[in-house]
Amino acid sequence: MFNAVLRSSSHDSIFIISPKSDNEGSYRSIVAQDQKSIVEAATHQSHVLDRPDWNFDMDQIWAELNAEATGDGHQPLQAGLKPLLSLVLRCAALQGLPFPSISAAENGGFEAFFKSNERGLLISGNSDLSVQAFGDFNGEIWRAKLDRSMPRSRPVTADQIRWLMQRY
Amino acid sequence: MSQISDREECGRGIWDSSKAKDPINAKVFRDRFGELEVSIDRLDTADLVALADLHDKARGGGRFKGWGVLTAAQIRSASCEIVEAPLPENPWHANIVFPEASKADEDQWKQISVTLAAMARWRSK
Repeated sequence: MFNAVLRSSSHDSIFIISPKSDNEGSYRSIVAQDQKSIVEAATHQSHVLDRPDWNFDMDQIWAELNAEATGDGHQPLQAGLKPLLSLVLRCAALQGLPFPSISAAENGGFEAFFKSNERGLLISGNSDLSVQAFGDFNGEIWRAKLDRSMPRSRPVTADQIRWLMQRY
Repeated sequence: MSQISDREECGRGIWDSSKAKDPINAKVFRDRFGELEVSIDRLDTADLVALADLHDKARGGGRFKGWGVLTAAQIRSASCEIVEAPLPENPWHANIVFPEASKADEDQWKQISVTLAAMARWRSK
């Protein structure tokens, strides 16, 4: 089976695809453990965002993304994704990731691409408010999806976003 | 059989100023979902001034900024092929060809673009 469906203790559904190699039989799965709210941590550690790389204006970023989407002939971004993108950026700052390259996706979503050396991490916020991550860490590729369509699903949490980033 | 050696540097053209820097956005290495070919330039053999001029004229709106650069070996390591595809106006043109399976698998299609972007570096024109 190519992917596995797991549940975190907060009952949000998580799809994980994480290959060890090209052999489909050797896929492994990982699930978030840490339940501490990164949002609460961000509130108390907002000084991290004062670092030069992390000075950002969410309204300006959002306006630029919508301008990009419109310019490319795509639909405007789903308004409900704005707090999610803000959450992604705050989590990334606290994780010590470099500032990402952010772009509008074709379907009203956004993509934030982080890169350090030859490690890449794409966080994709989709118009249905699901979140996907695509990683390539020096040739080790992995994917994850937080899917709100599953039973008992809830909005994506900061813990889940941090989990997506923690292996970076 | 491709005649492009593993060491050869190839560049994906970038016109959008917001993407003309490191890190190269993964979106740069995708076209529309379902399309397997992504245009690139063979930088080692190209006349870069002429090529930049050509790209400036090719798109009426924005001016050409530069390339997201990869070696042919890096492209092949992402499970892609690289094939020569010279055009009358651009003899240095080639294509990155994504695996056939990515034509119907959007996640794989995106994943490959991440792999390519993770290895790419910015090069100004």
